[in-house]
Amino acid sequence: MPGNKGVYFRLAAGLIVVVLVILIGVFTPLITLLNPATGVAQNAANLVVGSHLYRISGLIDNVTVIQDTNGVYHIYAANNHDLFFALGYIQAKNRLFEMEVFALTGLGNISTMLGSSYNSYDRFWTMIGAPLTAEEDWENVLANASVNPTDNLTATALEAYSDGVNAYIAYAEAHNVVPFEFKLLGYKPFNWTPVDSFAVQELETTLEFGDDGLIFALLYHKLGNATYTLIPTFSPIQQYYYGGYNGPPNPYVLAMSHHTYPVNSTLASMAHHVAQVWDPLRLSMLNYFLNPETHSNEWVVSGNRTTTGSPILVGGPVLSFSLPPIWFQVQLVDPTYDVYGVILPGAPVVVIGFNRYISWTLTDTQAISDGTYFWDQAVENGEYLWDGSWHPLIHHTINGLTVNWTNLGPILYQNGTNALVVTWMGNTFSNDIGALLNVMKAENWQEFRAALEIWKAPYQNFAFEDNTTIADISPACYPIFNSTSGVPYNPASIMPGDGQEYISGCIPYSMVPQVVNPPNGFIVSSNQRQVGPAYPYWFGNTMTPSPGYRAFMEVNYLSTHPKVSVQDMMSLQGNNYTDYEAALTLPYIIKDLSNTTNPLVIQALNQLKSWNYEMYTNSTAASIWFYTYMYLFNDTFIPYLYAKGVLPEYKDVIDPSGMGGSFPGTTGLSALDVDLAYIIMTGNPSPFSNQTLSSLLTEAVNQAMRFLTSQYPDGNYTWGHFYGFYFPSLLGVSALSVGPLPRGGDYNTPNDASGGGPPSNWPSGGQSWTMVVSMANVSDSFGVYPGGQSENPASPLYSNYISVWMSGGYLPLYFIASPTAFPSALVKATIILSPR
Amino acid sequence: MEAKLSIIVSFILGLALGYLLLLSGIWYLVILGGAIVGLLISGRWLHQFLTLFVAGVASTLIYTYPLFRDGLPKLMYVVGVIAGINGNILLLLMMVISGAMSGAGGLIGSSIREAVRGRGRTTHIVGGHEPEAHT
Repeated sequence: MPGNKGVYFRLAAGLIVVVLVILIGVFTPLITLLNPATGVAQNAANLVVGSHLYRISGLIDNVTVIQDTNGVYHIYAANNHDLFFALGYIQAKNRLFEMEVFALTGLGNISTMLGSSYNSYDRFWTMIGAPLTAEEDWENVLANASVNPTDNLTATALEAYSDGVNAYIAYAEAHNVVPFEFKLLGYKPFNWTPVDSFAVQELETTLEFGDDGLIFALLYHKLGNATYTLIPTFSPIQQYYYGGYNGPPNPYVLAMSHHTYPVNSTLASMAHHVAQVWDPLRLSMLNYFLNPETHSNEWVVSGNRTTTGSPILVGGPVLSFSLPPIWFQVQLVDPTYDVYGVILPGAPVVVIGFNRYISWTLTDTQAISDGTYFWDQAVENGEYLWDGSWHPLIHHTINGLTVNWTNLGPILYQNGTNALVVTWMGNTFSNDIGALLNVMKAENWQEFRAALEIWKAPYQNFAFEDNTTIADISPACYPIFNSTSGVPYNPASIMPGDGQEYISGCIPYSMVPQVVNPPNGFIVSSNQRQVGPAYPYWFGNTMTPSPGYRAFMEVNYLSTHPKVSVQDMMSLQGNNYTDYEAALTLPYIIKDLSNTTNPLVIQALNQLKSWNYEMYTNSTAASIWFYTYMYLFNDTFIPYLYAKGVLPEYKDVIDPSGMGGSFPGTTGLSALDVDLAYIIMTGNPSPFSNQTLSSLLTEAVNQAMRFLTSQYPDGNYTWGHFYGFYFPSLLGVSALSVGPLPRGGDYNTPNDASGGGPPSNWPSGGQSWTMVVSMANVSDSFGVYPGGQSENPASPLYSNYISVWMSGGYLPLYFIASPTAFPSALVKATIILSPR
Repeated sequence: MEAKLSIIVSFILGLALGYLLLLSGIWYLVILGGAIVGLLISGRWLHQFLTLFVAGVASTLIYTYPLFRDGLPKLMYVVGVIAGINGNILLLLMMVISGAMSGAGGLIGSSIREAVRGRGRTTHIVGGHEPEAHT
């Protein structure tokens, strides 16, 4: 039997290996992930860019999809249904993981995919009402589809799109090519529904979503009426208001803005608590839109000022970067549509783009308090007080969390019988998808303007051009505040929620900021305030997001260039690094310091005097300007905020630095950037500092020079050492991210973003899509976004546009009417989607 | 000569079965493939184990060969970066696990065959080598 012993030993050894492998499979994802047939290896099949025929259930006719040499998809369908079905299929093929991350984020459910570390994010997002609104939006669209053509078109598009996404999910599961991120996370992709598309829209609504009202209340608690000096209602610096209304301030609006509801310690404590939860959201990698430190550009020039004789439109929405990026480039063609542009993952509409007749682009509006309005409301025993009587709270249970709503919105925080309630315009029913579906097929300004009338939120400026018209409009439901007791309280702070102050409606569409064919022949709406002080409605203050210097630089350029070409416009957007605030204030600084004997200051002035205000990477003067400005900002405002008790008590929510919070770990308050320029120009730092401007400037220049020479003792402190861009991967994995890469610019230049100093503080946001469209020939348009069409980091189309974007370059946008007209040299692959 | 033939046949059969069973999508079936070869083909246990180990690796290599052309190494690099493991190690692990499953199956199969038929009474389908008795 000794031989048998050996046999049993070998049998046991074999079984042990098998058990070991099984245990590895049970307790680790290794066997699932590495399975050659179903694991991540199979995803390599999806890296191949090539022609393919897919037979799919649910299509009515064949759809031809051409992927051009830049990776852009051109979808040619015979009807609306198939167009949106194919779009869903193609987008899911390239971006399914990103789409589901977007939808889950919008639904307050991202922790189910990414883990419990996102619980607080989900809780906040659920509390604010976004998931509920996404569902209600879809229910509204469905309910009205039989009587409202826009809702009917929306329902058709969203259902077909969802079917297309789900057809791809089914294909991917059957062929084991579900994006590898799902496999790594052990998460099965969920089937897409129109509610998910509305959830993505809710996420987009965070373009206007902030806690400005709470911050203002905290400042008012400490500063009282001095808050109006720190955060002026209207800029004391000259501004360009595209919508007009220059002139003296409307007395009623000014009175309202200077009539702030008292903020006692209890209310301040509640505001502070909510702001502490709110503010970190800005830092989350999930907030593509919620980044008040980055802004956007748009301008449009009329034909009589262009070399072609036709209008030119330029768009540059500044958003947070990610890889994959938030944009996906397509051309959509069927009997109704022939449109080119960028779409969001999960929302089947071109947000920014052009068709044969028109072109349009978007930016954030200035002022109007982020679309969030806060109220101090009494709540007791499950009821809220309004207009002298008690009403039952409305309970919503979403994602396992019960949220209590009053008539004004969700309760964010409760202390005894005091509740802090928010009215967020993102919770207003707004069929933005339907509006854009109509914009995509509009042929003139009238149709375009009519399409946007249903747009309620987020607050956006829409620049427009057709062959003969340039225009801009900021459609939205801007609340009109009224009061039963005289002048209403300032809506930029917390308001009384007992019924004395209330929203009586929206500013009429005919009165929202807008302009058509202005006499100067151009329009700029780059986040500056749209309407001047004479505007008859309350429209916010200067708090965020832009001090307006960038817009003014663009206005200055266009004013001084009577004829511009497409090339000029690309150059202005992509390679112009003029800091207009420097141009505005540096002459005053140089004059103020002209008699200095301080050697460091003299050394700095020698460079600044010959500087052309360009934030080029090879400029040392640019570095001197930046740091001088930043130290001057700190020396002027920070001691003041400490003296008044704002700091250190509220340092976790109010910790400003200059240029929109460009120092590490700080935030921006654009009003303070306005204040500082005003101080420099008037030479009077009062009431913020008791020192003279000369004294503050001397100290700031000294600090800047000491810092720069400590960093680069050889004097080579060029701006490229302190500024550039970083493109983080969606999952925050540094090896799959790109950068930091040096590039010119700063907070006040077209390619603007806050940040600077160590590369870890370089901006991870910027112009997320640069587009130049000339109506002389829309087929000769240009654009690029930093990223690529594929979400797979192993794909050659993952980050291939970044080098173009970094150089300030553009790619041609091939706008081709039919697959047969597509030049073969421009075809990378042809995909046929055929009904099964 | 017979031992060599046994190794060659085991390898070819292990490779073919491994490849076919990989197609099923159930990776664990590779164990069964090894076991079948072990049951059918006699040979020294160490030879059997090593041959089927290599056959398991080879079948996986062949199975994934088109994926290598498509960019599998780059993909595994990416997956490795996210998972915190070197991508080449992941690829190596995939091969080793396939080999281990196939080899272990072979070990089990040959042991069962021996245990059932008894020492020295094996019917050699191919080969004719008396395995462990001489070791």
